[in-house]
Amino acid sequence: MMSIRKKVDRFHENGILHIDYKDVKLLSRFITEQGKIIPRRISGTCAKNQRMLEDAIKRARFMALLPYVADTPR
Amino acid sequence: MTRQYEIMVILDPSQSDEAIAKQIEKIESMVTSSEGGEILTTDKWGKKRLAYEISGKQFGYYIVWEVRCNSQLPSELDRTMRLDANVVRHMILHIPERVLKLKQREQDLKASLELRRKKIAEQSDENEIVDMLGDVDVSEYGEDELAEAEQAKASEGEE
Repeated sequence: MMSIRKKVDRFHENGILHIDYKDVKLLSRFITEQGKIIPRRISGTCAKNQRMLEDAIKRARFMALLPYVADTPR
Repeated sequence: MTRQYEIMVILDPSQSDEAIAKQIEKIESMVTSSEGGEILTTDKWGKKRLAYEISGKQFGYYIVWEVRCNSQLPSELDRTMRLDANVVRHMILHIPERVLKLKQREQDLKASLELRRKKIAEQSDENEIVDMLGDVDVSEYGEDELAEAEQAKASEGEE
């Protein structure tokens, strides 16, 4: 498996305890250009926070704050 | 039992301001007239572009309420909003005590982190301020790795 560096959970670093689905700016950093959720082995998020993040992203998607699919045109 | 809820509603933005105000009024009065119903905050985001088209619309009028009310109200609200054609989307979330406490603790945590960072900045020559969520370098790993991961999953599925 490539690059297992010591990665920090960004939420711990910045004192974020609860991940809000309304915080689009924050959430959008954790999805790819295609709108997919970034796996935690790449984002470095801890398991617990990743679950919270996923729920938040899914809710945001439901309320059309984030896309389900967002292809970048080639 | 009185609980705290968060209600987000998307209204049809092509309506007149009065029509929208009336609908807001209707929803709010449903809350306040209910037993123990209390609106804590109202946050009107206004017209916003949707991330995808809903009912043929590209924009929506967003409103968020923080509400305290009895546990029967959400289902009534839900039923009412489902029937209303002008309510494009709605979501009612129960906010458990646990989360409310977390939000409070967050303020304190952030304050103390800020102090710590200021101290570090003053003391050291280089600014070692941890970038607030510096961009996750997806580019570094590239879509390749993600594709790799997907392929690995696909081959596992075949077995």
